[in-house]
Amino acid sequence: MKPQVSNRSKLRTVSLGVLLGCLSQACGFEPQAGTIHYSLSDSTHARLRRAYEDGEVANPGAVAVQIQGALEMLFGSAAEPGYMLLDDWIGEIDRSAGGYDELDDAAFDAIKVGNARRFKMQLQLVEARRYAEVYRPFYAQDLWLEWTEDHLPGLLENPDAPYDESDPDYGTRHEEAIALFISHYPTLRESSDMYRQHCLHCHGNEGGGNGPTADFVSPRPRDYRLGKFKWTAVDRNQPRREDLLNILEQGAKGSAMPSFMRFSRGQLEGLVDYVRLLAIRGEVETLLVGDAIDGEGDLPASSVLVNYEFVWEKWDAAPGKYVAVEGDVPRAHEVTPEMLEHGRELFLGTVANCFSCHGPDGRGAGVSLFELKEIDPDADGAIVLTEDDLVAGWMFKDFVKTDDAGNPVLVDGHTVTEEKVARHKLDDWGIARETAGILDAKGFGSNPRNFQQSIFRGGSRPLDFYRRIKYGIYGTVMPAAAPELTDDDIWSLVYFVLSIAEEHDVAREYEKKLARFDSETEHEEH
Amino acid sequence: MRLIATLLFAALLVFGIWSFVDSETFLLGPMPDGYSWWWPEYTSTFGGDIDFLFTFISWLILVFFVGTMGALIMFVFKYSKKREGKAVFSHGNHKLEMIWTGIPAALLLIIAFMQMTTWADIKFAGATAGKQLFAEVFASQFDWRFRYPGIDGRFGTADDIESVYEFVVPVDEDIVFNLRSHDVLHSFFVPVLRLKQDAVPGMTIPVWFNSMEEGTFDLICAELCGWGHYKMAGRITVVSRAEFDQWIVDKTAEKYSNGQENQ
Repeated sequence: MKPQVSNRSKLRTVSLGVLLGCLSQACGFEPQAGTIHYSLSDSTHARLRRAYEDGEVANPGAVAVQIQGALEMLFGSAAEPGYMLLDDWIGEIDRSAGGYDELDDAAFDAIKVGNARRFKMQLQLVEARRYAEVYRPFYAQDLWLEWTEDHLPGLLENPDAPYDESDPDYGTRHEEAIALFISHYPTLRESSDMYRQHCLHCHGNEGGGNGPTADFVSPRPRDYRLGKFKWTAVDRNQPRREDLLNILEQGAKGSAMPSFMRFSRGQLEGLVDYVRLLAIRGEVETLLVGDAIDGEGDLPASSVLVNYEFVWEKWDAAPGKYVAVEGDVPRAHEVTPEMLEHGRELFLGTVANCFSCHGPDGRGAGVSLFELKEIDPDADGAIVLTEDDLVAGWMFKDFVKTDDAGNPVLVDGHTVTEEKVARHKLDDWGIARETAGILDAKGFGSNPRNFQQSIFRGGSRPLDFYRRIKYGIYGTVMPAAAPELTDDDIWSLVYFVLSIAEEHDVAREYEKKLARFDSETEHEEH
Repeated sequence: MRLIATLLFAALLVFGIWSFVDSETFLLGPMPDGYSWWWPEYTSTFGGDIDFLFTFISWLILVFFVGTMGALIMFVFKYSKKREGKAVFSHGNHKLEMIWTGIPAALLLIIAFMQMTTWADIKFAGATAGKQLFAEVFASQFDWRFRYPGIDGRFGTADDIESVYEFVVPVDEDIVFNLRSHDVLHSFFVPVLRLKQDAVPGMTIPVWFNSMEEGTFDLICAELCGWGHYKMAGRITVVSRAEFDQWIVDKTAEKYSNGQENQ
């Protein structure tokens, strides 16, 4: 019996040790900042490899190192992100602190309100003059550095002494300590920490939309490196910072992008800064690769700055391309049946041409999603469409199915091949339309909006619809409206689309259920 | 060994009672203003009933916890193997078993009857039937979205007012809303209202509450809904009727904005 007992007590000791070990590990967990670094995108490597195979570039590895170095000079490293400052900016705008200089007073007021909530615990302790007990907030390493080095020693010595004797604009050390937290604006380094915690897993370390969870969400997350964002208020341009902020606050309904309203305004502005840095970095990277290949493997020194300024110009041009409407927006209760009828005619007509992608019933299953021109009409299994088919509500979707092996086949048994049946149109992210049940090479797709779902990612205000219809969606197949369409036409279309959504809204089902319930109870009573 | 085991069980007893008695600041000392490990003060009309039941059941548990733990500690101490030898098989005592089955069963019945009216008032379909629907609430990974009917009084129409994160409601009014989920199970939980209701995909669940106090309160998701569950938060802002009407007017202006004010 004895050995058993000793075994058991050994087991006890070991399990207690494991438990304590796990606990101490969990308590001491800190992300390892030193291991994070930016890498070049897959497409950069692919282009260099192609250039090497074509004999344009002798040493693609050396080119990659050159580009990597240039990008690090312009945007810093992942652990220390920051812009290289251009001569033009000096005295004009300070981009060393992200977008701090671009905000107006209203934004700063909102940031202060947000900070009062975000640093509630710290502020309570400072106001109670318990300085030594103030603990480190999340995603605020630079703030913490300033607190521990510039503020804390003086506060512990004498909180009522002036913060800076040479400058009378500053208050006492105590007052300045409160101001430090209240008016904090996150640095790019702090925002990058936050990005890595809350955004990276979908959008990827370099913003390539290739994070570890990206494969599990549909639609796939945005790839910032094209500098193209869909849900903006500008006419086909890089977004304004307000547009990025709006998506962070509102989320993209119906996609995996949630609302981040629980974070303070300052934190969100900081994320906007960092997303913009990643987007500009990606755009510059693409341009540099082109220049390096053109320069036969040697990246011209001048091209680095030229491209950097070129991309910045596009981003700085965004506020000038802002879209607003003259006059009042028609309200829902002012919409007449004639207006909806006009909208319907436009929707099904060839000028606005909405039906060709969104389908005659708005389900997002139109025929133009396929490049029909590539079909040889005489080929086996090809379908030739006439205008009658479109008007009658013909839907490609109903004719293409997937067989057991996952290959698309026509309903009548013919095999579909890329040559025979239309190829999908790709958007700028390389994502195919999947309307016919055929997915792109990776098995992902995104649809033209199905209005019957009544979910609109870029917002559901009439103004949002106006912007989508009038100027299209940047980077996608959705084009700008034909110039013949007047504003009145566009409002008719807006409300017609909304009426499709209304007809199929989830609230209708509930109303029907209630009506059924009412009639049943009436029936019982009689 | 006997002493160690006894002390371990005794520590559990002390820890349990301590967590109950000192629940507001348990183990962490005084909390900063407005934070506590205990319930916040309730603001809903049915909050008092819930708290009464909660407190009653907690006291009941305390009594039985102390009793059973005390017996356990006593047995561990008194009947150790060294002193009493190996345990012997006993068929048991029929009368004793009847008693310790009968008492909990009776207590369960008492609790069941006590909570019946409260449950019916809050959760039964009759509690919301025929009442004007105030809003619709949509849960999705990982945010809360709210929809107000606009001036036509119907939901799912072009003049709906939409809000993310912030649920604004008037004070002292019965708020009936339909709860839906876009994707997976979520749970609408507002601690100050003592209201918790699962949002189930495919189901439309009518929920109601009536807040007696104005203020801004936390809305959290109380059903593990995915990796971002911990940050699926919202806010309930209870305001006076006049302020609520003004908020709707502001939201309507925002909805029909022509973009000139840079939105």
